[in-house]
Amino acid sequence: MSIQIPCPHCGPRPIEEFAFGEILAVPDQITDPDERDIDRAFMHNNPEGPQREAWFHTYGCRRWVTLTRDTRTDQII
Amino acid sequence: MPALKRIAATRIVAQPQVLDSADVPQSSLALRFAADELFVTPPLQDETIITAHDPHAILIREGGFAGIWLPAEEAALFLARNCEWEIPNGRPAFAQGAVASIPTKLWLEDEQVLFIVPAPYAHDFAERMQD
Ligand SMILES: [Zn+2]
Repeated sequence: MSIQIPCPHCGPRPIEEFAFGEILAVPDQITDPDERDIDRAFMHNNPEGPQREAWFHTYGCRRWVTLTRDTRTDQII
Repeated sequence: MPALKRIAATRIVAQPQVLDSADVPQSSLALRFAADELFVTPPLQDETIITAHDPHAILIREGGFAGIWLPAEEAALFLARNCEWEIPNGRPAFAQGAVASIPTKLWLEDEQVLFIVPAPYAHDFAERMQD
């Protein structure tokens, strides 16, 4: 059984129905606009633990679902 | 091979509360694809039932979906083999998700079930119904 993503409109659905969308976060301490652009484009987060993510329900409502997933366990919190 | 037929419809994107209370003709089938999206077949004759309440609503004639009705028993067998997620128990009910790996919308009635897929998938879907 694959990971289930709870779509608020359609209900729980297998992860294969969704496309992943990273929520890009640039640290506040980077203030220079060019540096922020570089960080946003190349310095992707890879946290060990809870992470905010967006998933697009391609096979259902075709809307974004935002959730928090624990990257250690794949559990959606 | 079962043939899916093109569905003539109106696709509406509007404020959810406007869709909640939309006075869609009783004889139409209105499927809530998303909180802010409604699919009505046959196409709406009177679009003001939406536009009067939401001037920013988008209404388009939609011909990009194809569908087929199956008797409930036949549909249940097909879904048991080809659907990973739980079908709602109540009837009538709308549900959507992957069926036979194709994005599918279901309108479930007591006696029959309407399967709707994007028209480019209609042929593949019909083939998978035969498998
Ligand atoms: Zn959904």
